[in-house]
Amino acid sequence: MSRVELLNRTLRSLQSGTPDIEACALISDEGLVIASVLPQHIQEARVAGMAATLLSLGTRAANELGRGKLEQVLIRGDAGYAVMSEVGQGVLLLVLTGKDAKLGLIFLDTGRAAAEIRKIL
Amino acid sequence: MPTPLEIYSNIKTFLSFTDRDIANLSAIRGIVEKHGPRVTDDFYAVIARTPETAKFVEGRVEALKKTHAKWMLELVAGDYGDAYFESRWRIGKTHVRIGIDPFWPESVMSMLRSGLHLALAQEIANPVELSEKYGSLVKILDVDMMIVNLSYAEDRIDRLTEFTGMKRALLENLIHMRKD
Repeated sequence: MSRVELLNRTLRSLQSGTPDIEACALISDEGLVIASVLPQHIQEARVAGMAATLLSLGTRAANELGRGKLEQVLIRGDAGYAVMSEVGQGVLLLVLTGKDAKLGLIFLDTGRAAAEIRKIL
Repeated sequence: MPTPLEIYSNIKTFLSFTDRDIANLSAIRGIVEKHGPRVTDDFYAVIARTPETAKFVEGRVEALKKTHAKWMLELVAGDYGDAYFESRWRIGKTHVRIGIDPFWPESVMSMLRSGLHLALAQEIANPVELSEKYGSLVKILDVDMMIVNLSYAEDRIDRLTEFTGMKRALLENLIHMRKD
C-alpha cells in the first residue's frame, strides 16, 4: 500500500471512528492538500491555504505571547469546530466537527491519528 | 516562481532587448554624459521642493546626484548582464529600505523619460534615428523600473513572512489562488 493510500486510510478511520468528525485533511505548511476526507462542496485548495495560514499565525502568536510551542489552533463557530494540529515535518491535520462534538474525544482521537500519520510520513 | 534574476532575463527576452538596443544605448552615451547633469539637477530640484520626497534627500543632495549620474551612465554602458541586474536590485532595495512609497520611483522615472527624450531630441536631428535610439532607452528604463517594482514586491512578501511565520511558498500559493 502506498503512503498516500495509508494516509487516506488513516483519515477515513479517524472520521468513521469518531461520529462527531465531519471531515478531515492533511495539509502541508505550504498550503497544499496531502490527503483528505472532505465534503464535495468544500474547496480543498482554499481550505488548505486557510488552515496552513492559521497554523502559521497560531505558531507565531503562541511564541510572541509567551505561550510556548503551539499544540493546536481551535476555531469555534455556531455550526461547530475546526481543529488544526501540527503533525510534524511541516504537515498539519485539520478536523471539522459538529457543534455538539465532545472535544475531549476529538483531541484524543486526533492525537492518535497524528501519531499514526507521523509513522507513515 | 522564478527568481528576480530569472524574471529580469525573461523580461529582456519578452521586450526583444537585442544587440541592436545595446548598440543604440552605447551610441547615446555621449549625449547622456553631456545632458545628464541637467536632467539630474532638474530631477533633484523637483524632489527637493516636494515635501513628501524632500525628506529623503535633505542634506545629501550632492552625494545623491553623484549616485544618480552613475546610474544614468550605467544605462548606456552597454553591459546588461547579471551585474547590471544586481546593481539595479540594490538600488530598489535601498528605495524600499528608506521607506519611499513605490509610486515615487514610478513618477521619477516618468520625469527621466521626458528629460532624456528632450536631450536626445536636441542632439539627434533624424526622426527615425531619434525614435530608434529613444525606443532602446525606454526599454532599459522600463526594465529598471520593473526591477525596482520587484524589489517592492519581494520586500512585502518578506515582511509578511517575517511577521506571520507563513512560508514564502504558502504566501505565493495564496496570492496565485483563483478567486472563484
